[in-house]
Amino acid sequence: MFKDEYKQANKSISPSPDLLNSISAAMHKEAEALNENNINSFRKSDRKFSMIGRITGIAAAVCIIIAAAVFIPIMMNSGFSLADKNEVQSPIGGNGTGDSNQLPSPDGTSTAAGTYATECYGTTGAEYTTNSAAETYISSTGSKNDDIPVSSKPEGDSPYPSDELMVLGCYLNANGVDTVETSEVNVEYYSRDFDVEILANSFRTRDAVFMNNAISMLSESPLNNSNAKDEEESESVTVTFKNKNGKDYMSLVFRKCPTFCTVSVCITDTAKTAEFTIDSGQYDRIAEYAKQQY
Amino acid sequence: MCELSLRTRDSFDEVLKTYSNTVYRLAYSRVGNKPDADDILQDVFLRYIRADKVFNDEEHRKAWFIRVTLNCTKSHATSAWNRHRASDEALDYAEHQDETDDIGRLETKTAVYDAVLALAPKYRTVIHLFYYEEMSLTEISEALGLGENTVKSQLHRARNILKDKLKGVEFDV
Repeated sequence: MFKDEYKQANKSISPSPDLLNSISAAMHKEAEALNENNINSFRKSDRKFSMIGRITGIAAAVCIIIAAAVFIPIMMNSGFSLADKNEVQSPIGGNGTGDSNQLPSPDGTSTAAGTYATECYGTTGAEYTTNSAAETYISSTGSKNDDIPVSSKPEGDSPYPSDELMVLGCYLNANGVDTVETSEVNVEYYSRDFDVEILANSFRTRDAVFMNNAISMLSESPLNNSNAKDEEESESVTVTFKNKNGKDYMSLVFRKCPTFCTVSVCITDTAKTAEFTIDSGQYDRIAEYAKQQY
Repeated sequence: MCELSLRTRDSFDEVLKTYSNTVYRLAYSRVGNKPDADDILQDVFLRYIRADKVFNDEEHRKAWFIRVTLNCTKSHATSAWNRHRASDEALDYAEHQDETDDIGRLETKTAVYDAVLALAPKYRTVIHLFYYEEMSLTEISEALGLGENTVKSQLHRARNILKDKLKGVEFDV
């Protein structure tokens, strides 16, 4: 058969062992070279990948920084505030701003910071003028606050009274007469002991709501109080401050004309007395006087 | 991500041992001399290394070797070096016709194999693949890239030539 003879003849045709050995060696050499190239190319691609990742990361960081630099000022300008959410809101409807020491003016706009304490707010109809370094509050008749937003009014039955007393106390505190804050407050009001106590607490804690309530009570009927010792006393309110040693330091006597528009400052130790008229806008002079005598 | 493939030493030796004869005998049947068959054998296995191909099974691997061997023999036959050498050998053959009739030819000592080598290359290939590798006409046509009828006609003609040369030899197909 041709097939069998052809197969038999092919059996004698074989590569020599030397040729197979040389081919085997060449294959291994080629394989090692290819593996080396493969590994190198793998490493190169890995390095390339890591370089791409590094560049991408740097680019992302730069983008974040640029975005922050652009958008944060925009957000700040659009009213977004990073200030404490507990910032004081003006009872007369002014916007709470970041600076808690900033005192809103009666018309709702804010004034320069630092003159009044946090609790001190102006009254309706009052106006602010700038007097050298300190803000000078000029009171008007100011016994009504009908234009105060309801939501920002303190709770209570009465509307805001004339609150010159509150403003004065806060003004004193804010301008360095810190006896109210650091010592006990003894408020002597001969007509209504209960209201005096509230007023004393208000001065001690500088709580604007308490103070307003107290003044409201004082304003409503000081003359009709049956406990009033005499006519003259019933028309005045005396607030006595004690210093750190517990001694009487200063008395403020508020006289009604027809509201509490006149205040006499009496420095107890020196027995000096000065009298100021509130509605003439002399709070700064009162504070300055008290500081000088302190 | 780049796939890292490592070629192992053991697999190469095993493949070389299994398919070296197949490749070498097919190459020899095509080129008809030992030096060229040696070159083709080495070339085929180096291509195998570089290809780093994954095969479905051994039949697939064998078909790949046959196909690559055929391609290598074609490339070898058409290479510039081989054409230059062929012209030199033709010159030498003309000058020393009596001495170099069988240069590089292995000693088969069979009339059958000598008759096959005397055939034209295209007839040698189909004879080798059909009778030695026992491939079907379809497989041969796929390996050679020819139509099945073409392979069939080539096989028929090759068989007729061999019948004339090999009186008394029987063909089973």
